[in-house]
Amino acid sequence: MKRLLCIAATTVISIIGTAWAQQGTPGVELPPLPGPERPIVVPDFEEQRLANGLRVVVARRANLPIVSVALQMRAGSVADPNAKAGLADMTATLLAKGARRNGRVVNATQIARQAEALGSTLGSGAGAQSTTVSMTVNTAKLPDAVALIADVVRQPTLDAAELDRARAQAIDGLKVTLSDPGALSGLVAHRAFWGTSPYGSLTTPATLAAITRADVVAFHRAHLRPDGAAIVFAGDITLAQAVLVAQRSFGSWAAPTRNAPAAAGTGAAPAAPRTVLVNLPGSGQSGVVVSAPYVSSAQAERRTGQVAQAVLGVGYSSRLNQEVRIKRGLSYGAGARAQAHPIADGVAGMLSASATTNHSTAAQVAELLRGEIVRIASEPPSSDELAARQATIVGGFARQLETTGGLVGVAADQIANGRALADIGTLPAEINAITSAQVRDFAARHWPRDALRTVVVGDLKAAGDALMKLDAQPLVIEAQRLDLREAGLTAPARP
Amino acid sequence: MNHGPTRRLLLQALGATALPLPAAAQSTLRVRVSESTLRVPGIEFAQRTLANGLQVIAQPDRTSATVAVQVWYRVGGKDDPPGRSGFAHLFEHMMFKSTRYMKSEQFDRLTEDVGGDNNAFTAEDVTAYHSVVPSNHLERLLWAEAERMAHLAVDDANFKSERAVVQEEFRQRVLADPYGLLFNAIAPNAFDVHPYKRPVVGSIEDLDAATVDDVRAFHVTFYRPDNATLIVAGDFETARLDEWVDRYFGALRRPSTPIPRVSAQEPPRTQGREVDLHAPNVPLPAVMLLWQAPNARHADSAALDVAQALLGAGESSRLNESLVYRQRIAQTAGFDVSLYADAGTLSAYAIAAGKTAPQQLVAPLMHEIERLARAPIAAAEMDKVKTRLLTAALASRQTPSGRAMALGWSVILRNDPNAANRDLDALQAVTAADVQRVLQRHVLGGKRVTIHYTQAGKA
Repeated sequence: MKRLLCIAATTVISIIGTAWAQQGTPGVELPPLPGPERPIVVPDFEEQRLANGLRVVVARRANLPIVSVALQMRAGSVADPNAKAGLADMTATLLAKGARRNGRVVNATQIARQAEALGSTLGSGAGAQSTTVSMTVNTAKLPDAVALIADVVRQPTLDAAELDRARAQAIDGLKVTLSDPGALSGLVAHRAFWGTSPYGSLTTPATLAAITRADVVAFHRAHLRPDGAAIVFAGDITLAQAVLVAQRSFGSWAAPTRNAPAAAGTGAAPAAPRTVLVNLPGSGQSGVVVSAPYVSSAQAERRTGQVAQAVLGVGYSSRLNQEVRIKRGLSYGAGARAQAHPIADGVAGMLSASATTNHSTAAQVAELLRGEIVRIASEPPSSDELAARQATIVGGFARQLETTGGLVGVAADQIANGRALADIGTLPAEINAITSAQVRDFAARHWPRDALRTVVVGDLKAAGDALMKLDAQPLVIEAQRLDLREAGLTAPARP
Repeated sequence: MNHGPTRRLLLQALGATALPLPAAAQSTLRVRVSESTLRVPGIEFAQRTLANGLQVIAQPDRTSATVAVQVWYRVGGKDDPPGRSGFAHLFEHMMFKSTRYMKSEQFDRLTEDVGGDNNAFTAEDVTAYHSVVPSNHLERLLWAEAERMAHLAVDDANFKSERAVVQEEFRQRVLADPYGLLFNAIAPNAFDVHPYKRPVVGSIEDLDAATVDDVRAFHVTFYRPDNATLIVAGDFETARLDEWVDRYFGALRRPSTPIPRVSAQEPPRTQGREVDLHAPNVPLPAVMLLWQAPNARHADSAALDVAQALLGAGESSRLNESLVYRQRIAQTAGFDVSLYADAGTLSAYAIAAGKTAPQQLVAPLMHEIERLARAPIAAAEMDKVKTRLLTAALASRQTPSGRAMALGWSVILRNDPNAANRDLDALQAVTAADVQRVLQRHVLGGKRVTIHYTQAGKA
């Protein structure tokens, strides 16, 4: 925490020294000086393993009678066949739609009522690497909540009628997503960047239609298992209590004899042109995304990547928001997100800079996003800028630790990435150790101009000719003709 | 990032303040606690009023090293000048620009750059500015809030650039979102007379008409200590806070001019009506039903919140279970209770599933509401929604900003920060008969506006 103190003090001195060179008295013309730093409180993450391999993890915080709990299993969408994209998530959804409880079948309605009577919705979903089932409840309801999670994970009915119902709902939900220019630009950019890599799979009405009950049952049997899984508790609970509760509901959960199928992704393998313009006539705005390579979540360089991403586009004062919103008023907000996967070879991550804007300024925004990504290497952050972005990352982490849900998320991420829980508290020191030169080198290596990809989704007629100047050979396509199952974004031409 | 209006925040805040529990409930895991003893610890705070009229609420809690600083001004969308809808919200954005001693965006230097964050929202009755910082930066934030309360110094370039941002916000929220135009139509259809009839986000044309002189006048009129509540929650010593508040806010002048107040009364609606609304991209048509409701201080508010939860909160809520799950005619269905300081509105809505026409959604929505209003309600179902509301309140009160938000809404809507604690007891006390009485009175006994939302050219 000493490190953070130094950073904070440096920032203050530099503000007084540079931005407000005029004379002034702190507390009158200038902000008063900050007081002595108080350290970030990182709770201990304690752990014990049940005989079947299930890890039980606890972050204790006893000031309110509330506990968040999440069961995380190694079963992610990276295992989905491209033609059945959405299988992992559909399996997660169906867990809560019917299960055997105390020897009898309870249906979706009854499960929803039972969960909500405990205090919260039963959350379930799949990410790229893991499937998670979670709840937040009053301490007194915790044993019942864990028992419910256990029943839906261990003994779901995975009913065919529920699959049909969930599929129809998901297809309707996609209709809404696909008509929103910001959301659609994100999907198109995702597929255009990853191409044929398993990380590029996107759920579409067609892939949902291809999923059968047999697929769901097989996925459940192969992937939802105690070995490799963890149940994480945060809040008003001790490790001994957590182990007791977990043992009662999960102690008899046997791992299948067959090993879990390996489901590793591979690096980005794009097949679409570098610039894609999608026409969505009548849309209220244009969605603009510029993507660039990012690093593996398994590499030490990930911390440099995090800082470089923050300089570019995390927080209100990041460069993207400065240029697009604050200086030019072109958007309600611009920022950068990163996805990082745990593979050693190839391009393992994707950075995406994005904003939504009026059609007439879509081309200008695309150029600004491109320019800011490239500029990190030519104009690396000053010491003030670097310290501010580091503080943004560290401060966000500190606030995440203030809630039980945040604590569970921190631990679950650490587990999903195969890192030691004892290292959770090293984030501030690691982030604050990154230098401007490292950020510059990172950007020079990963973000040259010819590595960028651009997607604009909007009313192309309203956007005018400027868009055509973004690229000599863009793919121009009607939204209705997109096929997000294809790395090239369109269905192969029929003979 | 979101210096924006959060029309829907009001509902969430009411749901969230709903119910939480005291230390006595920290029983061991083995003990079964009966429903009636599920309580949320009250938010403990101290309040005082400075000589210049500034209300100050202090909520110390030293379990984390952060502090929330919020200033709630009693000015909102209802106070937009004539022909300037959206102005209170546009003004909110200008409060992040320069002041006598601060540069534009210096608030970000004082918050984000040291590991904190800041934001603001504009609602019907209030504009609130909220920051969280490492607690050793508290004094700096107090200085800065006092500075922008008294000495905003905007220029034309700042103003025009920020107005363009707000117009993009309008496009993003209202035009780009496939259901933005539908939700934007609530205000003009829910109110006929009260200025609540203008959406808080305004219109592109009215925003274009605003000038930097309007900004200056608005600041002088509404941004003053006797129209504001300062709330500080989290890691601080009360004596130090008092000293700093006196130093930075104590010297601010209370203007001699009165604060303009909206006095319009929304008359009872005498007849229902049907409205057809079209938009260029409507992937699935929708229907929205609106009724009049009382203001937030009304005795029926707790029962309406429980009715909302029974009809619309969670997968097992009545509307979701019936229209989405069982009948499969809706993709989404919900019920909202929006009680503002002067008046309110109730809304039921559904987005169609598959090929369902929006007209086919009205009867099923009404059927569920009428069934709740007239048929017996199981005790277990009442317990379910109360536990849910209580747990949500408990979860939201884990952070300094969550506790400060609960107090702020109580100040604005109830004129009393203690309401944040009292309302939880009131929710616990709501009976099935109360729910039925308020639905019969305000929904079944009221006149309805029905909005059909469809793709332009298709209906």
